Amino acid sequence: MEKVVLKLYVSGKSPRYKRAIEEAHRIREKLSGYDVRLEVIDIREHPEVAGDDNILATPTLIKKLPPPIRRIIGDLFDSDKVLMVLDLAPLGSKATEI
Amino acid sequence: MTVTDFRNVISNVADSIVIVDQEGIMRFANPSAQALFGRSLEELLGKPFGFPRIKNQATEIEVISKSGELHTAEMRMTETVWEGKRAYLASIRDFTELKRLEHELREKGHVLAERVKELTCLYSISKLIERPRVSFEEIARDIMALILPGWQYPDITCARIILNGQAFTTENFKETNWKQTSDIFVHGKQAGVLEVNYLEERPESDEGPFSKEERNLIDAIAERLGRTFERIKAEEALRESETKYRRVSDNSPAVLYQFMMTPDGASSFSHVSDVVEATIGISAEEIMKDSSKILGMVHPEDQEMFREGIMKSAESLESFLLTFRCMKDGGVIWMEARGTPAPLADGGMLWDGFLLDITDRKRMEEELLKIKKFESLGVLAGGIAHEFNNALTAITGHTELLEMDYSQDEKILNHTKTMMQSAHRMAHLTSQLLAYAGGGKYNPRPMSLSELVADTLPLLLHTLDPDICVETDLQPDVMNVKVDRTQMQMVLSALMTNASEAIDPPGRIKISTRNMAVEQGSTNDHPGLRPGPYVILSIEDDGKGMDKETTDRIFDPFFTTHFIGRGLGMASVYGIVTNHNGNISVDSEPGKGTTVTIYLPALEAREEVEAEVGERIVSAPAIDLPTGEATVLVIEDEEPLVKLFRKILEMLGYRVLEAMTGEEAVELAKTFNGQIDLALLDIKLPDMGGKQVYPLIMEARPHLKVIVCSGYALDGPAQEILDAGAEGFVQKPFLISTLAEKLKEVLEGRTTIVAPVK
Repeated sequence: MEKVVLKLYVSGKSPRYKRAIEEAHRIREKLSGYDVRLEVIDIREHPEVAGDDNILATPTLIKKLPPPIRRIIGDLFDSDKVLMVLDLAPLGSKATEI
Repeated sequence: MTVTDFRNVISNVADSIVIVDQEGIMRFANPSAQALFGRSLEELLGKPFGFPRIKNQATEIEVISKSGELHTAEMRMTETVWEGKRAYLASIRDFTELKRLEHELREKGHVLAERVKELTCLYSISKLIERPRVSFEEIARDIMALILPGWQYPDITCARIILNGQAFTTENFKETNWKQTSDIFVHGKQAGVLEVNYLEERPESDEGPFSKEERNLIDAIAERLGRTFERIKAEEALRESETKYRRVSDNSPAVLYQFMMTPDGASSFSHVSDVVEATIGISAEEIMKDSSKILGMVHPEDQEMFREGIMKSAESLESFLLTFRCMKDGGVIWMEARGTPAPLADGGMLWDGFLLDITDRKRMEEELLKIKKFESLGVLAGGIAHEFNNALTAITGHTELLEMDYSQDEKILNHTKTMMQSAHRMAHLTSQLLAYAGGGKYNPRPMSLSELVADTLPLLLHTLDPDICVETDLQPDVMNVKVDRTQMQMVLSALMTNASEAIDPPGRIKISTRNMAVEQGSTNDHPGLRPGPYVILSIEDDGKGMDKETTDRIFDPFFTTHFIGRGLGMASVYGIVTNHNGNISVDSEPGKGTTVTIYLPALEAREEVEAEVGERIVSAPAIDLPTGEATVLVIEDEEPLVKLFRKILEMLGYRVLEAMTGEEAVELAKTFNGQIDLALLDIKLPDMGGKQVYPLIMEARPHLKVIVCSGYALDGPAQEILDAGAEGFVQKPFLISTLAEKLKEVLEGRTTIVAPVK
């Protein structure tokens, strides 16, 4: 199975980030044919980590694997569109331009 | 517009502008973006930013600056072209400040809402506790409902008040670990506690589950509870004391009042108890409306004294006590007023005091005065009577001697007869005086009223107007009554005098006596009489009569009339009759005359009328005077009497020794060389009374016989000497025969129990 590594950067537990986390989980569900690893990092709790991936704003969702590395800032609403941007096609569908 | 112009715009715009290529790499960041990210252009360019995903829609992000600061921002993305390639322009607006302000506002709003709740709670409670005449229990229960909404979490709040041994709780009250309490103080002492509990755990801040404001609130409510309790208890105490005062005031016979005077002299009553209406005849209401009503009732002659009394009290700040007359119902009553002044803040004066009707007291004082006067008059009368009797003795004695010396001379005998009659009349008068002075000494003996009237009438007739005709209808078979002779004579005398004064001569007085039986069941006709036999004495005149008012008051000692009884008022008549268990009634009509009826209880069996020893009215001719041989010591201070005694005694055959003072008598008794058989002892001597002399002479001569000789009646000092052992008593003035008899009697040892003269 193809491995997918997703990292979601949030700052805090506000409703916005809760929503973002929920949406990230929805996206993962859509990737059923993949071996998905989703990591949620709260940079309020771990500020030092922000620098590793050069996080400038939250929420930021980064697809580390498979390459190419893609990142989305802001709302994760509409998981299909998100997958498109991340260049991840749910198995059995074509990637299209945004 | 040139490129430079556009560059200027981009460079200076407040929003952050970032251009990101299709790979998500930053290609441009304007100075605002550099500032926002806290990085220089070199640090930002070529670094991955990410795709701003949604076209033309704002999305909220948090920017992380280099220093780690977080900025809330709004990001909008549009497509653009950069260096000929497709790119994305993200415009980012920093909302941090705005968000902060929003948050602060919300916070403040929340805080404000809480304060408003607390204030509303406190205000409602304050309004609640101001209600008058509400019990503390009611207030406590109502407060419970108001407390809960004042706290942050009313749904899980419960409360309890413990005060004065009682507890008031909200329905949901439970003891929990999250509690807030505040002590309730009453008159400075801890008397209870207010508790507010949370039923569930609530987020804790530094202060615990309750905020600082809630701490203030509970303290404020507890403080109000304490003060309310104090106030309610004070109101209850005041009401109780007012009720008590009112009870006292209403039940007191004295009129309690509070009277005020302003500095300019205006006066008013702030309180007058209701009993004033019965006392003076004006209602309390009227007086409080207009104080001059009561002041105007003061007797005109007493008004000045009254006013001055109050003024003096106002100046000296001392209580006043005034006695004055008041006009009531056309008559006069006596009032006593007391008042204690207290100065008022405005310069006026307040008096608290009482008014009392002392008419009865005054009457009694006057009566007492009268009695005292009568008493002293009595003493005077007694003294006069004594002197009179002494003088009379000289007259009668010498007149008798005259009669003896000139027993054959008709002319002289005519004169002496008249002289004796007059003297006897005088003696009778003095005996009246003596009886009066003696204070009505009561010595009842059985006798016939018819006989008494018959005996007394001749004397009284002399005092009447000759045009007044006196008729008698005296039943000879009247039953005996037991009466004091002198007193009944006085009664007859008074009634005759009254009758004659009521008559405009000519006129008629009718005196009658008869028997009467009061039947069982007919006592209504004769109120005050028990059933039984009575003797009735009635005196009827055809004089001017009296109206009902006068008749009603005729026995009243203070009722001044035109009837001036000689020596006695109708009151005394009444007293004498009732003292004899009798009754007296007066029947009169103006213009139709008066009938006075006296009822006296009759004696059941006809008793022998005892002959009165020493009867002075009956002039029994002395035919044979008993003589004797003995030595008689005459102890008497009046020279004419001493001479008379000597003459009489020597005529009777006795040897006479004289002593004119008590001391002389004792001296003689001790030193006389010879027998002294008898002493005639006067009661009144200049140096000591006969009572003191008696034991001294008896000591000197134990076998001495003593006859007490006095112008006074038997009772009193004379009786005392008799009780001490004296053998006889002779009242002045006496007939020679009486003296002679008595001497013989005593010397021969024939003394019986000495009968009183009257």
